[in-house]
Amino acid sequence: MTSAAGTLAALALALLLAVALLVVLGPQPSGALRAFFWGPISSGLAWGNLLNECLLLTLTGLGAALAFGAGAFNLGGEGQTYTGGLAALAAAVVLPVAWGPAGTLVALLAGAAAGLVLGGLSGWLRVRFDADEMITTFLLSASAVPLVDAVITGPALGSAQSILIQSRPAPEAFWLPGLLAPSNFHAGVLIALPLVVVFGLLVNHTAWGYRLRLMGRNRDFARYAGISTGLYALVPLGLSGALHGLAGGLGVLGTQHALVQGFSAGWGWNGIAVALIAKTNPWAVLPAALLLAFLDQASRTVVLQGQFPFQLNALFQAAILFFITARFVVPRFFTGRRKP
Amino acid sequence: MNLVPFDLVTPLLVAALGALWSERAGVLNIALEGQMLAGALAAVLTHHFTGSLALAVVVAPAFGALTGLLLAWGTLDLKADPFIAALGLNLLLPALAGWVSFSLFGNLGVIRLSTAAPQWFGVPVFFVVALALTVATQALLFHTPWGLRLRAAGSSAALMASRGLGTTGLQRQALALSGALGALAGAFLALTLSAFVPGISAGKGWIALVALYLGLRRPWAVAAACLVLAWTEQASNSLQAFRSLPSGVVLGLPSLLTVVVFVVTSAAKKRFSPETVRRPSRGRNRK
Repeated sequence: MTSAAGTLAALALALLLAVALLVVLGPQPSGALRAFFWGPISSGLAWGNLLNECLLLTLTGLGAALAFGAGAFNLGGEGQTYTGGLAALAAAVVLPVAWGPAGTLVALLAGAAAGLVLGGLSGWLRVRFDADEMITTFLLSASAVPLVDAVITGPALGSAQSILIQSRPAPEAFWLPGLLAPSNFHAGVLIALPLVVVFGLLVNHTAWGYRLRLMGRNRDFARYAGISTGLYALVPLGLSGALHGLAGGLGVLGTQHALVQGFSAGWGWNGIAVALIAKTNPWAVLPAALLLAFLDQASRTVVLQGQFPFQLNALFQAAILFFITARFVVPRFFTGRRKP
Repeated sequence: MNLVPFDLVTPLLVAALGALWSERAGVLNIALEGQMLAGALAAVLTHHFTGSLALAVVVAPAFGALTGLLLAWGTLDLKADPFIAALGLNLLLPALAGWVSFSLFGNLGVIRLSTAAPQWFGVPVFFVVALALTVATQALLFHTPWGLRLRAAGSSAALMASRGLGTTGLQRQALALSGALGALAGAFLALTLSAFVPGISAGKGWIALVALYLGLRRPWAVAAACLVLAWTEQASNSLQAFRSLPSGVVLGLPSLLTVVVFVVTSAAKKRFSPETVRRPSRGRNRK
């Protein structure tokens, strides 16, 4: 069975699980199913929110795909995104308002830089001390999240009237222009889409990308072929962190206009799911992100409309991650071929 | 300061032993975090409905073993990537826990118990159990033919094949055992606290992996590593007494200290061990 069919099987299984749960546990199965499949595309507002989430998942997914494709596990996406959001907010607060769009760009770059430092640090620890990046990315992210929380609830705390715990808003001059108002969608898409093209070309059509993929396939062989395995472990993790940080920056300047406590929860893990569905190919990241964004919005709609008691998102992520790399064996009965 | 912070060491040690069994069999279980949480809930629910502490510490590992078998089915039978599948399990188990807690109690909050963890001459019984498990792990893994085969499945699959022995069954047993220990660790955590709290495992399943590396994959050294990690946690807890320190710094400190310790041991290993003894790049060379 080809790998594409395996991906489809995993997605189908996840979807089947969701439908089964909706039918069995929903108070009213037909309403739950309608809310699930129709809700995320039922109005302009819903479309905008769907596209906004797709845009953010494209960036985190691209980041995860870049690292995974080079054989480096970046499990710190959550913390890198969160820290990126904080850095972007800090830059937006400090910069003079007169800078306008240039200031927005600088603030987003600050977000990306924060992610770059966090991801690159794990890469450097891997190269210099042989410390497993799977563990260091996760732990660094886990220690960054409470620190950012401390800044939100401490020096940067906004008004007490808000229901959410959040920082002071970023200056309005630096907000990304909204699209499809009143939804959350915004002009960040003009940054995300070109990035997909850039990394699609870089990874699939340059010698650098070829070496990167070689690292992912077989590190020992890459080393044998004379590739500087150190550099090719450091750069993907750094870039992966930068893309996560940028996503955090867009979340702050485009979507929420302030740093909301825990806003990036799930972006990192969802990004990993996107990267795996896309088989770490940057071109496939966009449709994969759209799919996961749909599933996420669908399970939100079901809860909001009172058709289901709890969020299904985590179950989706779990089922997809569990099955996505599995090799499903089609029974011999269907293929008509003998076992080798 | 306690010389041996029993309540901090016990869950960490039991989970680290779970990590040890899986790692020695060549199928490192990184789903311990989720399994601890599931074990905590299983133990608390069992105690809530039956009132029996003994039953609680039996049901939790039994459920943990099932999750281990699920992971084994995914990685050994469906040939899924062990890391990715375990991440899936780490997301699945808290989601299921939330669902179960919601459908039984109508909220996602704290479930309280009216029980105290039993003591034995001033030492928590759970700690004694953890030490006994360390002895048992040492004995079974290093002094029985089964333990030898299990370690061979992890270190020299080719040798096993040349002797006509399969590795799949042994690895499945190791994953089940690892899941059982992970869940038992969670059960100890919750029963000591007399409550289930969402997110109760709080990264301990990951820190158990660090204890495993820090302890150079040997049971007694792992126990010593758990003691060191418990001291750092205790130190960061007592730092909370200083009002001037923001809570975020204190909450982030255990992970930060752990990553520092982990990097130092990795560096030491890189420097002092010959190239041949270094760990294989497990799973990195994905097909």
